[in-house]
Amino acid sequence: MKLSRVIGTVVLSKSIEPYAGKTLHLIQDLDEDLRPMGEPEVSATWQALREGDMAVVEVAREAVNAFDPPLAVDAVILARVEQVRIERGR
Amino acid sequence: MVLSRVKGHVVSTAKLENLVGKKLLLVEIITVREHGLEPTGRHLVCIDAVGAGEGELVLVVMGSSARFAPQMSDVPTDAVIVGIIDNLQAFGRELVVRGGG
Repeated sequence: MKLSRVIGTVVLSKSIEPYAGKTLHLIQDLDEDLRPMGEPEVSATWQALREGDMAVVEVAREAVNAFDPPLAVDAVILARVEQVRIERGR
Repeated sequence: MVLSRVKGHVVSTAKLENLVGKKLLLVEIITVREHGLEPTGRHLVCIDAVGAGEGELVLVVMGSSARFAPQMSDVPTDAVIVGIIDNLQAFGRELVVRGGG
């Protein structure tokens, strides 16, 4: 899993049927200083979040199991993060 | 999942039986910047599950997750188009409206 920030929302005009009603967010990974890194990607989510929220994201094949029945997604937000505490110098 | 722009069709008459009846499209991966969308120059061949057309902005599921799309469980694929983008909001503003952008 990885730490990401929600930077946007994607709406589909047409999709495979299992995507109906699902929220999709645009996310970007964060480094240990919580700065954006890498390329933005689209992620499904267990519930709609707001732009700027931090989140825990599961990627790849395991993401399909966040939904029942399994959904064809390769990234899914599993949790909203309120705080990250980093112990430096250990 | 990645955003992509449909660039063209891939025609193949000789192919694995599991691919018969599946439409193959050539797409270019698109990235999102604060000033708008940017083509990356990276291309993929995808199976189209939604009836996308040339020039449309689409959503592509990558890797083994792609086989969880309907009618894909026995298809050896790692890239399936699962949606057509209608609207994209990012960095506090609207970057795409109805597949444009």
